[in-house]
Amino acid sequence: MGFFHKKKVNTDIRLSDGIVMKQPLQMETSSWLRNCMVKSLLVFSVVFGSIGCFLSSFDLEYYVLPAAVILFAMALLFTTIYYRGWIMDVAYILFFILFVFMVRGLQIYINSGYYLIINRIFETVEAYFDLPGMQYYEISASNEVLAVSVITIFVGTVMMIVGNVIISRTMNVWLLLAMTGSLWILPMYFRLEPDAFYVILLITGYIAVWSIRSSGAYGMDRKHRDYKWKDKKGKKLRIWYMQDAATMLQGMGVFVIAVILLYGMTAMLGGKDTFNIRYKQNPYKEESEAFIQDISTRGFSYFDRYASTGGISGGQLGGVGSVRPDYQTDLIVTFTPYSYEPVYLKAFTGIDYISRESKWTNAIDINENYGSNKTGYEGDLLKYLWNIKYDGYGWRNDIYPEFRADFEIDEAALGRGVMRIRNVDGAVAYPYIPYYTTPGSFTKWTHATARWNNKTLDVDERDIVSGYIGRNQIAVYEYFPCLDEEAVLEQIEPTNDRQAEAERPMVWDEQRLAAATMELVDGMDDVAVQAEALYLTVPEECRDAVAAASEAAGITEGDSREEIVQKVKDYFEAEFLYTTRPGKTPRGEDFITHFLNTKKGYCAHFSTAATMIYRYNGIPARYIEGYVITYEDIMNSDLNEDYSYENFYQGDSLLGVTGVVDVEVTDARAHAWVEVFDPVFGWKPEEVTTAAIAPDEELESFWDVFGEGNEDEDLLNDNGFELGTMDLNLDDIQGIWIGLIIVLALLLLVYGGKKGYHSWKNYRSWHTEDLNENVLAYYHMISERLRKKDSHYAQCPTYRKQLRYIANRCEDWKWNVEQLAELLETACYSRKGISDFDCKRLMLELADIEKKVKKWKH
Amino acid sequence: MIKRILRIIGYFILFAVNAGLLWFFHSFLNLTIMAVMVFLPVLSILGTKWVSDHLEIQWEGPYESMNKGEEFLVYCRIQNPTWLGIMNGNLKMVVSNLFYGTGREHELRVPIRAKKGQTITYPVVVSQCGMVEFRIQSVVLEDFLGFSAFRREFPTPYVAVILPNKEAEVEADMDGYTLGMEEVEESTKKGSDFSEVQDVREYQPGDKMQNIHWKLSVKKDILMVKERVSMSSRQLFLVLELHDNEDGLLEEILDCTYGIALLMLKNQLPLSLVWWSVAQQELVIWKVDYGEQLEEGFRMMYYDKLYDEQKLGKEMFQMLRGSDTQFLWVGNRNFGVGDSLMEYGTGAGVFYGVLS
Repeated sequence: MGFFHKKKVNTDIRLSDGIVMKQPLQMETSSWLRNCMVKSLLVFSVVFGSIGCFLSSFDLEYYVLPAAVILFAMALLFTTIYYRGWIMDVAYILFFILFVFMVRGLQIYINSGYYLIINRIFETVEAYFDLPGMQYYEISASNEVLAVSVITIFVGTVMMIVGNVIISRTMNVWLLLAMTGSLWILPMYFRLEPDAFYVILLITGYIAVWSIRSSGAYGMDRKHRDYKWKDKKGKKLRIWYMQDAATMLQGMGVFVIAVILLYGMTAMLGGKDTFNIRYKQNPYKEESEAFIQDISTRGFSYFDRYASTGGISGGQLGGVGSVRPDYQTDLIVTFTPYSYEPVYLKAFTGIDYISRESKWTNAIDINENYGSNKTGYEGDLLKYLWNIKYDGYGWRNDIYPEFRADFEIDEAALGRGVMRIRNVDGAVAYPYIPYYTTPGSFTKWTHATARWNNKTLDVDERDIVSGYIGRNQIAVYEYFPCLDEEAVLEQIEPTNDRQAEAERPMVWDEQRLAAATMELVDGMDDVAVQAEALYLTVPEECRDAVAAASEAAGITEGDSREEIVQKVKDYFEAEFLYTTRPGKTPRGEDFITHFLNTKKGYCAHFSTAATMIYRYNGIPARYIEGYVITYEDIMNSDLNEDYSYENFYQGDSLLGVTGVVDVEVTDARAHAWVEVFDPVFGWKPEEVTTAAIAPDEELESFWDVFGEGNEDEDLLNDNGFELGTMDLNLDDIQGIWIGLIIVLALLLLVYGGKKGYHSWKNYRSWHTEDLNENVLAYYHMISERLRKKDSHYAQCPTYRKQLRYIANRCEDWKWNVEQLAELLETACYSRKGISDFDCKRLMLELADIEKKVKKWKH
Repeated sequence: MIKRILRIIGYFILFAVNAGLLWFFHSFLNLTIMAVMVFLPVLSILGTKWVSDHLEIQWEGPYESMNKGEEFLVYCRIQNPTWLGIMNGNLKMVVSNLFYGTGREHELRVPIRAKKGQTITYPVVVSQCGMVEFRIQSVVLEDFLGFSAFRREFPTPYVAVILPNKEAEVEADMDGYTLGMEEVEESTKKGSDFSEVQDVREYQPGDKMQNIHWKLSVKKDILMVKERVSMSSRQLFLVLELHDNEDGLLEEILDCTYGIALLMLKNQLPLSLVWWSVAQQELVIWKVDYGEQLEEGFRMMYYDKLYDEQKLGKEMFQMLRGSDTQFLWVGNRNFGVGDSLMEYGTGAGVFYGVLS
């Protein structure tokens, strides 16, 4: 038991020569538990006041009472455990474990609450600074009020921990201001005012902390002493009390009243809603607002994420370290589902990869850059880039009439549908075209009368566009889904040209390859070759990395087109990871090379690299951006009951007869893929982005660091996996229950162990061989309990006075006080002590007395 | 004071920061804080003044004399009838032994609760005889914000009389003196009495059983005792020197005197305490027939002043009482003259003296 040995020190205080004060000096101060309660009230008023100011300023609804009760309980817990060093250490560890479990279980609510708050700030910023186009987080939790309550409790708990340390140790109002100030200062910038309740709570808390700090009576004493003293030789003796809950509480009461009165008085000058109106805007504030507006529009932090492109980067690859979808609807697509496979809407076609700028350019850009300045080629290059073979939208025009005719002949073999697309918040620079349609189809269905199968679609003529779909405009496309490639190919009767094309070698001849790596210069007489060469161009900057990747993928010279395509997919699947936060490409480094080295990225990385690998192996390929609609999106969408199936679809469908749906496509569905050229079929889309998610990909927010995340939750990737919402259920909170039970069990174990140890120690103290010692120890044990219960009893210095006091207080006292006192005194002071018989008798009497005094109340 | 100034500076900084925020944001919240920061110090100072004006302090402690080494409780009751509690009540206390002229200040900071005040209980043990005084020089109440303080004085002290230790054992070789007293003792033991009854009074704790007037007690149904006056012409004079000495000699002299006196009283031998009073410039002869008188004698003695001379009391006694008086002198044994009856402690001694 050496660990428990305490060094005895002389604790008497010398009042003067020959006059000492025995410890303890008694004064009327509160118990340590009451002190804890008052301190927790202080922490609570400051933390909850500041949080409440923030939430009420931004008009965020939450469950006030449950949040307040839980936060106060937290404050009480932390102030209480602070009073014993080892308890604090153990409790903090246990709490941290519990906290992790809680965070894990309530992840969705915490994230949603956080996003709700951020969204509200964004809304305020958007309205205040007039910044349209702000993007907002999608909220997964169904109960938004609960989500805000949960994040309030979690953030509040963390603040309670810090606030308690400040209050218990230093009672420093400056530190508290530093911790909480931003919460109530931030809304003021937007001329938002908090509710009176929180203001009163907050100001009272600050003043009380200031006041208690000034009094110096806030010291934390882990021995629960009422006072401390300093007695240095030659100096004045100083004794000061540690803390007193009653006085602190009285002080707080006075402050509350004073603050309420002063608040009311101030309100008479003008309420919080009208006070601001009287004043002109501060010129410096105006300047700062202008500065913020400038920063916001130029791009800074949250504002630089393709803010107006709705997820389509337009071939821009570099300069973006991460992708953060805002989950807002970009397009509303009305069509009839026909397959379980994803539906791709093509927007941007990247043909020429410009390494130094880390971007793809499309046909128009290429034509502007090259073709228009070349004598004799003006417009030709564009024409070739958009020609039959290399059109922007799918089917070869030369087979389209036949195909269409075939369809009309044999409706059962192929499907044909119409798709209506409304641009809600998507980029305006692109059409959004489903596979497979044709330019002819495109122009036809964007003209005034949107009729299909003799049914007029409910589209305002003015909304129908003939080019790129602007904001709130609608385009209508007829499309022919490729349900069965074999069936399609059967429809296409080979022509001589087509036959020749099919027989052309995959790796184009050296002249063409040489042209592919050359600048387009005047004098090249074969514009078609130039156009073809562009689809095979692999820039020097990435050629080595692409060659290495091609080799690593196991592509050999004799591989067929299909084999090459599949090997690249397999290679990516096996060795690359998907992440929305791959980090920016270092300045001066090639985008593709960087990706192939780091082996992690998102769809743009995969598609760009795959395009180059295909090209390197002689397969014409190009980079595509657009949107993808998954079957899950379709399932989660609304049924459009205004139209019937026949209005939107005819022919084969892998799903049979379904209905018409309105699918809301968010920017999280923006995607990039590759089109490879098949000489017979034309351009075929290929999905090359891996499904392997990087481990850190699940960390969506600060809170995610507490859990490993759930692959099925709340995340989206470019493969179009819907990682939808999930409400709280028993399975979710299983972890919380387990954590709670473990923590409770440990607490019980610690508490029980401590109680048991003390009981055992007490028992041992009066079960020794010396009966006199036993009697005294037993009496002291009873006496000690009474001291805690009764302050008057605690002031009785001798056995006799103590017993007299007990006798007076007990109604049915039957013992002789003087005799008992004499026995005790003899046992204590006399060398001989009392006889064994007297000891046993006294023990029995003390046991009876103990039963009586047990009933005493505090 | 420096802390107070720093607090005021800090408050002004906060005030300025808030004023800056108000100027910048024009926020109602800042206006409220501003109002609170302007008016609260006024309320705080006025409130503290109010409490200070109404504060009362009382001392309580044992009325009877205490013995050295005995623990007793002294209560300082601060009454605050107002409904404003004070977190920083600073009591400047002096605890002193008036007899020795020693004392020490200490500061005690306590909370003073509204309507209730504060009771401070000192568990005190005194190891020197004398009059122990507990006095509050002043009470300084600091306002809530720590900007100002109000001072009140409370002159009424509490005084505890500390007698020598009861258990001081005096094993004197006092044969020489006691031989002369044998006659008295024996007579007392046998029932012969050299004294006569002067008065009959009610029994008090400490009275001897043999003094009980049994017949009268039966009649009155309460115990009555006979108060006797010794007829013996042989008075015992205990002359003690109130010699100021830092080595604790005076304590030994007092302990020894007290022990001898108790021994005498135990044996029903009357005695007189004799000391030279510097304050009154006369020889004080305090007749002691029973315990209370002994206590009273010591109490009287404690009001006197100590002197430096080693034998002043004896010399004055000899000078003023004539030559035929027998006495016991208790003082520094190095200065003892006559028969040494006993030695006590490290420096005190008892000497049998006769002037003839």
